[in-house]
Amino acid sequence: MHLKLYINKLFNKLTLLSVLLVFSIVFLVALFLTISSIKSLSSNNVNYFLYPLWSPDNNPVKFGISSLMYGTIMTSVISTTVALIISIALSVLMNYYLPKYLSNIISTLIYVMSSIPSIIYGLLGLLFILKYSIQISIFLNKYFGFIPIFGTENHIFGRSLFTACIILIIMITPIITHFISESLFNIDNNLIEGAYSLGMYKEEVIRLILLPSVKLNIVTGTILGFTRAIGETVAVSLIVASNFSITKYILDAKSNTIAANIANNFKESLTIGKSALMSTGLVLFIMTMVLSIIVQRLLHNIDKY
Amino acid sequence: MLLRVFVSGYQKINLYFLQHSMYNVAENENLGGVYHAIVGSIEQSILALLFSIPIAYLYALYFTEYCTNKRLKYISNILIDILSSTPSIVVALFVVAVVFLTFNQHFAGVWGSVALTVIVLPITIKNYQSVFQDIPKTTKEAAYALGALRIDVIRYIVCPISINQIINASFISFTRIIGETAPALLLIFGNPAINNNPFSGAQESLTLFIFHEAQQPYPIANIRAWSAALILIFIIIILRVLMKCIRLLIIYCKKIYFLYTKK
Repeated sequence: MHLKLYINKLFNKLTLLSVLLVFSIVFLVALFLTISSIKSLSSNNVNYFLYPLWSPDNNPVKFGISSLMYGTIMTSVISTTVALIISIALSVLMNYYLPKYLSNIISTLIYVMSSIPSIIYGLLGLLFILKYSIQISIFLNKYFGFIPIFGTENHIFGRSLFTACIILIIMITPIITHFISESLFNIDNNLIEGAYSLGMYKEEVIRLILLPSVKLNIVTGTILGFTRAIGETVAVSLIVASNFSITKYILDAKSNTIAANIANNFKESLTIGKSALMSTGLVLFIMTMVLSIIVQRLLHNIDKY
Repeated sequence: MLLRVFVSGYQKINLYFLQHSMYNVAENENLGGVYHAIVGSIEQSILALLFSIPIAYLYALYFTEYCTNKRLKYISNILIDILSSTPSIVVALFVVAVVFLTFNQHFAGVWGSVALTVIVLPITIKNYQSVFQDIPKTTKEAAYALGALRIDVIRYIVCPISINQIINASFISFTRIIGETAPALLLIFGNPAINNNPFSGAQESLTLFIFHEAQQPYPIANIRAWSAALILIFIIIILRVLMKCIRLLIIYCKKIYFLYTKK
């Protein structure tokens, strides 16, 4: 019996140990990334946040994150906005307009789409979507070129922010749609029936009652999708052109993101180059950390209501 | 789009492609295979599962059975959320910083699976926690009222009731791990020859193989990438089917067990 009590206590300690291990991983990630990026940041000759180019392994060490940051934020903002519009429309359609069997088919399709690995999206993007994306780019440039973002400098299309956005939209939409349609599904039925009994149309019920009541969920789902878009590596790194420039024309083949830059440049980098990539990784980590804390606060608020 | 993968991928899949590696094969030759990549992928994923499942199990047990501090639970939720939203490439960079830059180790499959462990831990933990929370409280309380210790409750009530869903959740993390590319890109390095030992020397993984072949300018290499992608999807489907089979098997075994114990 004494042995059993001893084992009981030991098991408690063992579980506590695993908790400590997982807790320490989060801090270790931040710690090791900081330590290994100090080396390059201290030998950098230009402003880290303003300089657009990337040559950490040359003799005057010069590198900066501004162009990478621009590409990352541009792709994720555009793709999240479009994905949000699509997924709100899709989830309303699924929950209130389509017959049951069709919405079941769509929800299983969304499930399948979200379980496909990102490398397969990258492969599809590189070998399949890129051809059509070039044609769409030429069309947009020809007929909508007067709008500033659809302009071009050198008429080279394809490996652009636009194509990366298309891939990201395909990847993010299932996540946001799943989140929103689940929250729409969980709404109190009395609310809807009360609205109908007051004589509202279906369109009014959806616009005035249902969407406002899941407002917080929509914001949370959007931020989740945004975090995913920021950190998306492989699919984007297969597509981007890997040059360091800030361009206002999204159709031009000038594109790069932080994660794609790490994936493409890591093998060729020397010591300081690797350390510089670590510093961009740290920036990425801080961004996703802040976003996920915001999500957690919002979810906490949703639970309160 | 899945159709496109099937259409482009099926033409290269045959026994030769499945049984050979890319050793001594030029990129523009119509030879070579994915055997080395499949072996590497499966070994690394299984190693990562072996690392992550015990940790996640104990962690989830602590927060459902032992912990009574609400604040600690809140902090744990935040930390797990941070870890699960961290991009996989950042985790890979972290493992690079620890393993290669501070401890000066060489490329090996294990380091890839260490990174995969860190990536998959939060997902596994979340699934396990929801599984443990679904166990009816009255059963547990009845056991405690009979004078059972915590370890007894865990061993005779929590484990047997949840085993089915635990296996389910583990398979879900398996399917998640096998599609990860970023850690393989930075940590496993890629190797055209067959390397069955994940503890020494560079290995190959399916995702890395796809990444490499898709960037080649030759159409034959691209077809190899499509086929490897198709194989990856097949592996995921097979895992799902296996999950269902094991579930049915366990239910069947339980029935037989109860029949015999009653007599």
